[in-house]
Amino acid sequence: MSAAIETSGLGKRYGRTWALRDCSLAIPAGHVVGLVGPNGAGKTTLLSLAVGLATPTTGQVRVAGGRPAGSAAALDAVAFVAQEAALYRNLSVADMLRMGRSLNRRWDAERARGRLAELDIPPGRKVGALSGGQRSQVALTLALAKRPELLILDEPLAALDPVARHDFMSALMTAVSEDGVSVVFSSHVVAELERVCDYVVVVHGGRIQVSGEVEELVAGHHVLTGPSDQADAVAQRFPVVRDRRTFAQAHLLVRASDPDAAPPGWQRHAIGLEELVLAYIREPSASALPGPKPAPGEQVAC
Amino acid sequence: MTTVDSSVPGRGGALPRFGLVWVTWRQHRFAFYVLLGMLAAFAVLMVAVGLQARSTYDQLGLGRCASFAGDRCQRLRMELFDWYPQQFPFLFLLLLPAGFGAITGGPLIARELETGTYRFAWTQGAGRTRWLLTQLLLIAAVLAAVAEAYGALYTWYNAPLDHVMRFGFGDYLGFELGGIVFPVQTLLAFVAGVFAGLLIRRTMVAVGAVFLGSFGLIAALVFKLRRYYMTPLVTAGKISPRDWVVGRAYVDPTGHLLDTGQSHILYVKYLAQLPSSGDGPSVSYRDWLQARHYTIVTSYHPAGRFWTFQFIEAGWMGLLILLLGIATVRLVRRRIG
Repeated sequence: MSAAIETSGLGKRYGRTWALRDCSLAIPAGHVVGLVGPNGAGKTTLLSLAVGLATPTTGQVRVAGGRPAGSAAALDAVAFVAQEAALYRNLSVADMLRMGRSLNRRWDAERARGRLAELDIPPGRKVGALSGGQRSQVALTLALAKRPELLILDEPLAALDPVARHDFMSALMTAVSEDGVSVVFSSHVVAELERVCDYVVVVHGGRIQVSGEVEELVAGHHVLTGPSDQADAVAQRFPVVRDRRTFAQAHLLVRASDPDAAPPGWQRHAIGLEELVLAYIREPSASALPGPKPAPGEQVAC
Repeated sequence: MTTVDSSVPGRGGALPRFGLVWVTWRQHRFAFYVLLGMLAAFAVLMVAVGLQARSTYDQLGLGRCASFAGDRCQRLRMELFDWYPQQFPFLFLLLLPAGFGAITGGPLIARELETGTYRFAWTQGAGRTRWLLTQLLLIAAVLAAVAEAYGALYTWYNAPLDHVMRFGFGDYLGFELGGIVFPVQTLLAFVAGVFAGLLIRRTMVAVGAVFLGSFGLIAALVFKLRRYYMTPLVTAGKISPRDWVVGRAYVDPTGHLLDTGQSHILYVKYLAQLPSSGDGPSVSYRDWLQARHYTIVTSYHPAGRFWTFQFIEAGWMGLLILLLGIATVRLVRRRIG
């Protein structure tokens, strides 16, 4: 299966700070990928590298089936919706569309016009006079009109109110089901993920911490609850993501693919995606990545 | 859906014809209208006053003057000189290359970076290099044409006066506006503006810095530096009217050129021997010097050097424009983000 985004040894340094470091990642095509992490984790940097706005300090990025990021072939196949929908505010929506058409080899003008009509966005209105929700819909329309293979969105929801968020995500999902486009979007709001993503990448401190399909991640993690005095023994057997102990009881979030892994006297609970992601973000030394399994508790260069 | 699909060109298709040209036009058309409006106003002024100047020239009968050695023609030409509106307002023309260049060049990249729109513009299929080159070349072409038009209009307006006064070629606006250096200066300020905007990433700071910098450079060239492009010729004889005089000096009877200090001492000596006011006829400095076998020599650039000077200035500025342009393109390709 071809990869939507593929990085090897990718790193980006701004001045003396590494925004992203030693990052090797392969996101398969055909997913809706949530890229999550706290502010300043390196999400925007990773996406900038993927769309070719930034050049890597080390390593390389390939997108949409092996095209070098930023190359002419990649620019044709990848559409980008930047943070806060970076459009020309003094231009009308219609002019913005014409700009998109003028700058691209593939352009589906029909569809762009249709989408805007459906959304009741007047083409004569200046982009700067639109509401935040409308503006991001215009940005999405422009991106989809390119008929991309890969759609990358940087914090598309950050500036939107709850209703606009909902509308935006359903517009995005409609596009995904119609076109089969791969989507990668970043967000620092973890709650949104569960509904829309089937693949999650967690970035923290400039490193990739978790990368995998949502189903597998959720199925592969459990919370084990049992007596505290046995906790150390259990922790020896599984990679522990989060270790919470009270006087009598221990709650261990462990990574274990075997659903019957609970030792006698322990209870096993399933865990939701949001809780799982938060647990990883709070525990920077834990990681869950495909490929060779890392030793428990050891930090892994992504 | 099939109808929609067939309207979508496949991969490997070409970019729309004039797509980037339209984008450039759409982004800069306001500036273009302003530029054109200013040029139109200037043109109206130049043509109106230029026509009047020509009728004055004819009324005075200056066409019949073969030379201006005679008293009558000398008087007529001073009359025309006085008729011409005060010349100094046209010194504002010296501001134009710096102004036009900085105002169009400074925001070109800086505004995209400042507002974040580069993230849209540079992730489209056309790519940032093509985007940048189209913008640079089109705007440069328009600026050069507008600047040259200013030059042509002023030169036409000033032609009657220039014909009778025969200024030295480097002495007045004639050199700025009568050749190719005016558009070249404008382009230099433009490219410098684009480059500075890319480095500084702040529109207003880039515009201000480049305006002051380029105006400073041009003023320095006009008033101080340009004369050193070539070594001036030196003569003790007469020079022709279009020659550009850049200095006078004295040679003592033994044939040594006096430096400034010595010349000053000489002049002080002359002043000291002058009779106090009203006491008989005083001798002129020139005669006084001649009586002591001093000669006056003139250093000058002969009129034929006009185009040489134009090409020297256009040459080094052109090289700088090219270097800045290449640096801008390379930086945009590599360093943004």
